[in-house]
Amino acid sequence: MTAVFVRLLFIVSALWADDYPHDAKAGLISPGSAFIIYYDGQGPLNFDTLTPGSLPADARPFGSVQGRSCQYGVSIPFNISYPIVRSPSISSVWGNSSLKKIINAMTNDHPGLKGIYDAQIDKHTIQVLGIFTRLCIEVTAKGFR
Amino acid sequence: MLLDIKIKNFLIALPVMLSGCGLIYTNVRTPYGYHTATPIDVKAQDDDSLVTGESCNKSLLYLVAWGNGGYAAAVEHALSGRQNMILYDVRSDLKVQAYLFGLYTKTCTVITGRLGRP
Repeated sequence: MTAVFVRLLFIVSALWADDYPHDAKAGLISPGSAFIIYYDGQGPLNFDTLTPGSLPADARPFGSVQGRSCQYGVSIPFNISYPIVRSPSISSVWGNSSLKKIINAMTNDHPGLKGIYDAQIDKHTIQVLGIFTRLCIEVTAKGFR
Repeated sequence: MLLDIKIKNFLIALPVMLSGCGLIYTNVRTPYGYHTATPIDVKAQDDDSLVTGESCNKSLLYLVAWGNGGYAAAVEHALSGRQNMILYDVRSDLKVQAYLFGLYTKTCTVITGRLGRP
């Protein structure tokens, strides 16, 4: 019941943030239960990316760039009961899918990259049996030198 | 009394079920952020065409969820290979179709915008 409530809180907060897009909405893995033994995750909060009209005067666009980074979570139930969401479990989350790490990786992959614009940021979630979760933040954008 | 509690728990869990996750396996992409261009950012013309792009996630029997409903896929669909163009004045919407208490759910990100030259 607690896990359902926690999950519902994440959904409601995301819906609230959609009404106020300037508000930050954290891209963190939601823990599978209230019994969290270890949580060390970083995720994106807000990124007011550039648009084509706000590029520096000396910017030279060079095409599409992509970057991705992931967080991982494990939630092990104490027992298997139906519905699964009501099984108490212990959970652990780790990983760094922050925008800082993604932009650093893009810069390493594209030497000379000064910045990005027209960026789309997506969340790629893979979850198996509610036990293992991988949340990746993917950035697809255009780069400039 | 017990039936009331079960119905109440079901109604609370319903948004979780319809959120596009599968209990057994989930592999979905969801939109997170997109700071779109405005007419002042591109060489906007009055006759720039209005295009729509859509990307979807699906879930079945609350057990399996799959798809790519992210912004990047929707933008790629809207551009349809015209990579030298850029979308501006973009509106993004969410379209949800659910049948039989969410046994099958399709959640789509729909973006509508104009094609302009950077």
